[in-house]
Formats: sequence, structure tokens, C-alpha cells
Amino acid sequence: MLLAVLVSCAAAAGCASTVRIGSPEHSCSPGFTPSNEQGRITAQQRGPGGGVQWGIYPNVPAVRYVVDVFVNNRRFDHKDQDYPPHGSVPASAISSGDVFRLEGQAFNARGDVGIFFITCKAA
Amino acid sequence: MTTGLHQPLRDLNAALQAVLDRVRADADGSGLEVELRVDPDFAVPGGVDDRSPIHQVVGVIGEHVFAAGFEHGLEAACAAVMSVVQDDVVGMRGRPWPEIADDDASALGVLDVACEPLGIAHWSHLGRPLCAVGHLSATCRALGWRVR
Repeated sequence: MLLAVLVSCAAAAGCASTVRIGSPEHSCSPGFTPSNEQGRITAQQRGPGGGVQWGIYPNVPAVRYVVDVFVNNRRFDHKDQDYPPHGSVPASAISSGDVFRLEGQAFNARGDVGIFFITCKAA
Repeated sequence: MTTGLHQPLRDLNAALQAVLDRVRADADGSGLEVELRVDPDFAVPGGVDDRSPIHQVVGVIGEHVFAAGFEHGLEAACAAVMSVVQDDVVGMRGRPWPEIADDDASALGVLDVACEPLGIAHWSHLGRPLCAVGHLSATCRALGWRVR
């Protein structure tokens, strides 16, 4: 199962674009990197039973990033920082068949917000 | 729940302090402050987390909050927390950490955090175990290395 959506929203003007990427059968392993003009998200798992490494690589400048990472709907990680975030879920915290989900927001200096999320199933 | 040595974890507060002492020792000078606490509201935002407190331990580094994994045992949690600290130091500095250098400042490589196969949270250098988490500075001093 995989769903990835990158959305660009301007706070004053409403959503500017919505792009859906990927297929529902996609696995986190060996990797998945949806992208659009706003940037790309990566989720990588070396193989079955391994941890999942993730990262946000924006094409547009932002001054704040807020990201939540969930494993089977339980939050594992929360970041609120001024540089593009990356992180990992160790193998001890995710098992084969678990659902990895990342949700986040990026804010620019004008207060506009970009919304991004990715979901994939651990191998 | 078990430690890396497969012993039951009986005192959660003592376990938190044990991990905190070790992680803080190795993160000293990194510029980051790490805390550990039980937070029943973290894993299920806006909902009810009915798991036991050992599942609800979070690490806190500024605005970064993460599941510490104490349900997997003391040593696994120690390695997990140290690994997150390492990630955050790298993110903050924009370069690998901890990097080891010898007396003439020649780089000897970047250390990794692991728990397996030893069952002990440890630093490894070039794929070989170097020392337990919490002993990095003393070990490097003994070897004539510097952490940078």
C-alpha cells in the first residue's frame, strides 16, 4: 500500500496545486521517492525487516518544517525545525507489514504552507 | 520487556536515568540537550494511548520529540536515543558527527551507533565495536583520538 501526495497551499490564496504520485502496491523497500515541482520525499528500507530512513528535499525555500512520523497510526517522531528534516525508524520499531506514514508542513517567510505526506508498507 | 542482556526492566525511572546519563556523556559538547520522559499524549495525538508507561517514553531535543523504544529494552533504547541525537547533531551542524581524528588532526572516520550483535548500545568504528555508549570521550582520550 502506498499513497503519496504533495500539495502546495498558499495561505491567502488557497491550494495552488495537488499532485498524486505512486501506486497503491508500492513498498517502502528498497525505496520510494515521490517528487514534484515543490520537491521530493524519500522513504528507504534496505530490505525486509530493516528500518526506514526518510528525508524531505524541498525545491522551494521554507523557514520552518513540522513533520510527524507514524507507524501503524502510532506517532513515532515529531520534528519542528528550520531546516529540511530527515530521520529514521529503527528496525526495532517497525516490522514487516507495518504501515509507515509521514505527514508534514513547510512554511515560507510569508506564512504560506506546503503540505506533504507519504505512506508505504514496510517489507 | 528485556534489556539487551535479556534481563527484565523493573524500574523505569532508573532506566531513564541510566540511558540519559550515558547519552548525555557522549553528547557533551555537541550543543544539544536531551531529555527523557513518559508522555501518554504523544503516540496517539488527540486520542487515548492504553499502553503501559514503558511504551510511552519519549526523548526530547528542543522541539524534536520521538519514541524512545524502552519497550525493546534498556540497551536498545540507549542505542535508539543516541542514534537520534547523532542525527540531530548532524542536521544542526550540516556535517557528520562524531568524527574521530588523531593527534595530528587526520580524520579517522565517523562513528556509528549500534546495539546488535553485542546486545549493548555501542559506538562502532569502521564496522568494529569501539566502546559502549557513555564511554566515548574516555575511550578516545585513551586512544589519543579527538572527537570533533
